[in-house]
Amino acid sequence: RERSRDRHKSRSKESSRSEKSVTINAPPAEPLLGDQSVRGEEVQDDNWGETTTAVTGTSEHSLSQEDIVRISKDLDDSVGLDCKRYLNVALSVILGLVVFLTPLAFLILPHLLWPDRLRACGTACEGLFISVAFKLLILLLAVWALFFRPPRAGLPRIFVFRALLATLVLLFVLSYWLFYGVRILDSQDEDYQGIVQYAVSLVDALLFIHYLAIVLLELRQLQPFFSLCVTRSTDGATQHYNLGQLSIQRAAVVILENYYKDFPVHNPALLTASKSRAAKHLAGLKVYNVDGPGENNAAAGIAQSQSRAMIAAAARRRDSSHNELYYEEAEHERRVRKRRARLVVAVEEAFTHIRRMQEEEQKKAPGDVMDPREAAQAIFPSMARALQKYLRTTRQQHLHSMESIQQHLAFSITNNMTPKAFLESYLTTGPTLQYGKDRWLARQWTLISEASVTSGLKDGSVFLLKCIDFSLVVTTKKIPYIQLAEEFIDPKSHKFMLRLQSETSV
Amino acid sequence: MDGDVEYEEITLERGNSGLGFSIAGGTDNPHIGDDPSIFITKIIAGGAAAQDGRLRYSNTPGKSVLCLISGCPDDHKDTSQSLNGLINIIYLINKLRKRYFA
Repeated sequence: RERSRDRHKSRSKESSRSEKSVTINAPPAEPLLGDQSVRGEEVQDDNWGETTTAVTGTSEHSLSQEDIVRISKDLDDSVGLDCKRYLNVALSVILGLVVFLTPLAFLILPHLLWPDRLRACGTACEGLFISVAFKLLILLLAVWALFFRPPRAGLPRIFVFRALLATLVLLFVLSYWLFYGVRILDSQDEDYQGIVQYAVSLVDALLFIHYLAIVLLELRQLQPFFSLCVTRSTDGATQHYNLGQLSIQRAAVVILENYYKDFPVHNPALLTASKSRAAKHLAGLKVYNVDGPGENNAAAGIAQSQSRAMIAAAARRRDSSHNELYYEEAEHERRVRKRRARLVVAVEEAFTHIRRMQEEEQKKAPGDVMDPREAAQAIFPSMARALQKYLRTTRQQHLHSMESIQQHLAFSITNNMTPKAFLESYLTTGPTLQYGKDRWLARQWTLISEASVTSGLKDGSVFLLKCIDFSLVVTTKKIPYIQLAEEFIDPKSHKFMLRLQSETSV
Repeated sequence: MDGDVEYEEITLERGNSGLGFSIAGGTDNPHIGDDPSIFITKIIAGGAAAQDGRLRYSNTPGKSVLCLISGCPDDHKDTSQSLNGLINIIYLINKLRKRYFA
């Protein structure tokens, strides 16, 4: 809970930062990161990104509305989900046990119930024992490989194919038991070889059902059939995925797994600019009804004319705001490039201060030996200020904590990475996977769909994957049938001639 | 397809180094797209045509088509042979297309 509280704190600061003005308030008696005089000393400040820019107005422990929603969601969903998962596991284990013990039971029961009447088992029969044993072993391994994998996701509805297969297996085994019970147990059949063959046929049939399971669950969706276009609602980042014939919920799982590695990380700080522009468009335009209170039946007409008047006035205002946007963006571009240049130079300079030690040198001067973490801490202060300024200009400062930067620096030094390789993760925004696990703020996704989520994907189906901060809009298109024709070109037919003199003088 | 066309009749006397202009085009090597006409592409400085001064040609492709009294030829080799031949005085008709339609 400690970790989540920190998370809530950082979220509350961000959400309030967008509405209130930011005052840079260096906290007293704490060393600033760019302070050269404390080079080499460990700076004990876990919230370095927050303590150097403080937001005033709210208390330290305030929670925004979103955090409350998230906490309550965490609480109720954790109980329900575990129950469902355990139930599933329990049911599948029981079914597995029943299925495995059935052939063994078929073989053992005659020996237990009427051993004296049983005809002796000949060579062929004993050969069948080996066959049953190995087939059961193969079935065991195959079922373990296919079904007992750690589940990747919890789906809202049951997985239809698995349920169908489980029902099929159950019915199958029950019918075998029924036959066995009536024809063999009741009549106490002495032909043991026949019983063994019956058990072998059961195991064979189970292996074929397993083959059916592989085809339905794994192979059918491998061939790409649909192309899904996934767009993030906040900033429009789009990716396309080719999937086979899956149900909507399974397609959603595949998309989410790919989301974490393909989409750039969601950065709410980048959206505040457009929000403030939107606010400015509407602000300052108020409509006054000068003609006094109108009649009731004209109310609709008045509302319409009011909105038309606002749109017209806003259109006139638009002339200046596009200019503002253009110059603001150009200025920001310039600032980012300047800070980036300073950062690159600072980092390159910092990296020249350390050098990998050879074996012999280590023995000669044991006092100077540093492990990667210490080396990182030694060179970090010289680049910290430039890095912090760059991150603040590109509004990424909440994605990187000082601890994570130092860790990454130690990692780069250990693996002989160049300064450019170290900087790449700060200069470009990577996918969500690149940042720490606490960045994966939304592990709880909601699937919103007009069609049933267990129905298959169809051309033109649209569904939404909603998490707390944004949603992913998914549209489906069928991959067209491609008719490929062939054309044969004789390799000897490639012949050329010189073009005639294009100009002749006369 | 012809648009505005201007015909110019010129008689040129062969100078020391030929008539003093270059032609391009023809059915087997069309200068512009599918048009097989013979075009005048360059007037050699100091040559007979330049000195005569009457032969105008347009640098824009497709505008100066060479025609002889017998008609507008479309065979490059024949035209160049006949122009290079023994005849000293040649009547030329320079068909200047004001507008060229493809």
